Amino acid sequence: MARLRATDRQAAEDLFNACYPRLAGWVRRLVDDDETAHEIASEAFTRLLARWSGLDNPQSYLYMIATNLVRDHWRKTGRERRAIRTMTAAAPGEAACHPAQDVDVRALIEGLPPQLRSAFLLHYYAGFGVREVASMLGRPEGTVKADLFHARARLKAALGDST
Amino acid sequence: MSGPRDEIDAWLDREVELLPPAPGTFERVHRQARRRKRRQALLAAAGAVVIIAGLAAAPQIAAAFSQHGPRPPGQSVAAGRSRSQSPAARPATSAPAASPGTGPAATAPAQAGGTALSATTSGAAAPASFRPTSITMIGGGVGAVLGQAGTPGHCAGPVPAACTSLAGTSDWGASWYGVSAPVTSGPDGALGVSQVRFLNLEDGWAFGPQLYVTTDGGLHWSAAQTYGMRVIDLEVAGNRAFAIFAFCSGGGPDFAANCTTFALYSAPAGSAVFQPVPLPVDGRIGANGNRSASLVIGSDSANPEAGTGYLLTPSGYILSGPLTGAAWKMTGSATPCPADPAQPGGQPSDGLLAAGPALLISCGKSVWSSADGGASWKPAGIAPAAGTATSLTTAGSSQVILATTAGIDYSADGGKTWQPATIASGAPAGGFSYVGMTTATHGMALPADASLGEVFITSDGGTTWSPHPISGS
Repeated sequence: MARLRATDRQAAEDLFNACYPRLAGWVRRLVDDDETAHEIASEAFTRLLARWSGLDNPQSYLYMIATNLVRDHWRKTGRERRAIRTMTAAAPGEAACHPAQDVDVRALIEGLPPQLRSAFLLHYYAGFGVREVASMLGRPEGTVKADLFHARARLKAALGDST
Repeated sequence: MSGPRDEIDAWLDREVELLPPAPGTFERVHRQARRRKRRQALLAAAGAVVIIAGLAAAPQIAAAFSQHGPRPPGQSVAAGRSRSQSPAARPATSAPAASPGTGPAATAPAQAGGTALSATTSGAAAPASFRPTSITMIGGGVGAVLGQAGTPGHCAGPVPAACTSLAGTSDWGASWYGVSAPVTSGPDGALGVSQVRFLNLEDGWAFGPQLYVTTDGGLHWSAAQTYGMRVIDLEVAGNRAFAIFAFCSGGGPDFAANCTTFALYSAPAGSAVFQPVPLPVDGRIGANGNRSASLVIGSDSANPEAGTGYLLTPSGYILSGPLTGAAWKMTGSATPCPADPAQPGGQPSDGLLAAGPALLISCGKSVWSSADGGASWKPAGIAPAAGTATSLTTAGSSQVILATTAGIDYSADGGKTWQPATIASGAPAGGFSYVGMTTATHGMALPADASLGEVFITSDGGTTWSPHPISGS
């Protein structure tokens, strides 16, 4: 039993060493700062390791957790942004300063319906195949393909409107 | 000029910038996870006490509940988890949850649990349109091929995309019969299998990139835990399986491409739990760019467990060790060439290894030999120029056989001199993806074009090869 625990720990550490930098970098592109990216990546690994032995595909599970944590972060920061807008409504014209394209696309992805957003992030951004995404989200492959198509179409339309 | 689509593509195409963890992050995460696990266990125990107390106090509630009848099959209290629970994680005494796959067209009776590998024949027809990608022989003319059959997406069984099939032979490939296969697809990124090895009539492993284990000749297959890694090579000898696990990001059939953090794992026959084999340098095998790794076993037929395993690392070193699961060690200086990026089957595209009386490695068409287990190398000879080498094997005391994209080359003197082998009906287009010898006289080769649906067999030590179809024989 002790040997098995040591095996699990080594495998978990291998997975951590191999996946953390990319996962944290992946999250970094979706949030505002390094600190938040590290917080989300660490929390995703904590949740993964807490239920380590019962998982078929830890890497998929990891990205699913991170996707949900990013969504929670967006909700929270959205509330904060709305509150700040309300408080500063008396000073119009001071638009938030975004570093152009990166945040624009990110904001549009943030605005996608949850079903489209998860599939889009996991496939186009995290690099999972359609079958893997279907398995992770518990949806048929055809549905995931349709979600990806609609997500791209919405982003394209939204970017077209904003240019 | 850039349009909206270009902006999306540009954003998506930007490489993710790696963000390494601060020192000590893993230890902190590990501690927090353990604390959380303990809390969850306590909560679950408390919940169980409440439920038991509730049932004891109000048996009528339980009676009323039972009037609704048993749960439908497959539906459990935690339905979401039960469906995806790894069979390897189930208690050893539990029966397999899913009925075994029989391949898309195998005629095995489902109620009997499919068909197993046999020393005679099962009588079940081999699946139609069989496209073999791997072959394994266990001696006495008994062996199996794994591949895809039927029409992808339209296969029989619970998962239409799961067209993975097995066929067995007991007469050196002259005839084939259906054997139950794991229910999964061909290799597709992190999913599916493409290779098979059987140690004997009972113990078998299907892998690349996932890993499935059978202990009853294929009647039942269990998914083995690979800790998020892909299995890019696996060999069996003695009473164990040895496998190279790696974190890879290659998609589609290139499941063994772009790998990092290679590790050697092993399990005894009969177990689905693979454990790491201790290796030097922190238990890791160094990755250096997009390289691969491969594994061969130099076994002693008189005493199989006394053989030696050899692992060619991505950086081009040989690790070797006993077939017991004990530690392996570095054997000497670098090989003449490293293990180049993997072919679709997982084997390196250059730096092919073979173990016989001497350890051999092919670097392009140059074959090198080591008489001291990889500590030092000297050139043995150069194979004919036609084609690119894809697979290397040895037989007897001095035969060396090289599969190439143009055919099969043969040497009877340890690789010094070479000649093209004779292929009945001519070499198939694209040549061969694999060659292996089971005895000094018998061996099998797989054509690179799996859609041919045949294997090539030699019974004269590799000098002549003839095709044998799998389906419809």
